[in-house]
Amino acid sequence: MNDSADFEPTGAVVTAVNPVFPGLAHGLIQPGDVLAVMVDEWKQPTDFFVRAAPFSAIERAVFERSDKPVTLRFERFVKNESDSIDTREFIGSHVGDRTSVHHSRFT
Amino acid sequence: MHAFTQPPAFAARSTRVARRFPSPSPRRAAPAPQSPLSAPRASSEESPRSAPRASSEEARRAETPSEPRRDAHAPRSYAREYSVDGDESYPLGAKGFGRAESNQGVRSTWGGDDANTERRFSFVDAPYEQTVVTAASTHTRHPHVLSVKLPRPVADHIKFQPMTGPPLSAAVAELRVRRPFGFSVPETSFFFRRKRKRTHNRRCVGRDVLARATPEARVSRSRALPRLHARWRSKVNPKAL
Repeated sequence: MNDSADFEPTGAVVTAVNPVFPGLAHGLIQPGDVLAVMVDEWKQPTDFFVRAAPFSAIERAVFERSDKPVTLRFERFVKNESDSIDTREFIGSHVGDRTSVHHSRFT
Repeated sequence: MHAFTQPPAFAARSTRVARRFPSPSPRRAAPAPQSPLSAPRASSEESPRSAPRASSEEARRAETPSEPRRDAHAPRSYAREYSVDGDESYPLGAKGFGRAESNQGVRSTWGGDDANTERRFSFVDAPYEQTVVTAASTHTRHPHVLSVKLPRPVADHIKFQPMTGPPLSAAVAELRVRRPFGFSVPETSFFFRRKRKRTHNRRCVGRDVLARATPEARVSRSRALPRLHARWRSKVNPKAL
């Protein structure tokens, strides 16, 4: 994918979440969440997939200053299903299960 | 909206999904005979020995869907998913779940027309359909996915660390460079010394004598000796040459 990935650490994991303003992600993101995608709608290409990207590139994007918001998509791997996320609460962009059921009108 | 959230009046009869949607599949309506005793008499009269086999084939034919599965392109978790209703539930890939193969001879329990015999998604049964696929069970196989939209810079909100360290190839390369300096010289010296002793002691023993005494053998041995080692040997032990 990129040459520098062979010599650099890759991917990004959340180490800490800022609990005070201007930090806004405190209740939502936990340390240990894995950053999967960054979506900047004002850029082309829109999606910046960070799994295999070198950490320096990720850092550059993380420290970038602009007045446009960016969407971060995380993956959270949990052992016990029940204690981490209340499923009935809408948190992320996990699309409804009906979406992929064939022959449904909402497909 | 209110109309959809309220269960329809006919649903008050039974809450079970299977009763509300009687399956048109032959497996549920009339299960195939399992034993030779319950097999149709005509076949058993023709060939009594092959009767159980024929019946089992019939059963298998009844089990096997005639057309490829509808959910072939759905992710695996959905194909495996079962409803929460227990034994009366349908697996989503089951034969009776989707559109009915034919409406011939199928009467709707709901009265009126046959329109609702096909089990499609509809607003009427939407609240019940949602219970068929458990929302939480999907998460057992996939990670939770969280999306957050944050103002920039992101570093104000979250601190990151690289997920993987630098690959091991660098360390391996370093070891490779180091190895000959660290080990090769003493090892080689030890090796050569032992060899010498051996040849010296075994002069009189068997075919070794022939092999080592041959001039070609001596030449090849001296050629195989790298110049570096030769110089080193002469420095350390000049008598050895």
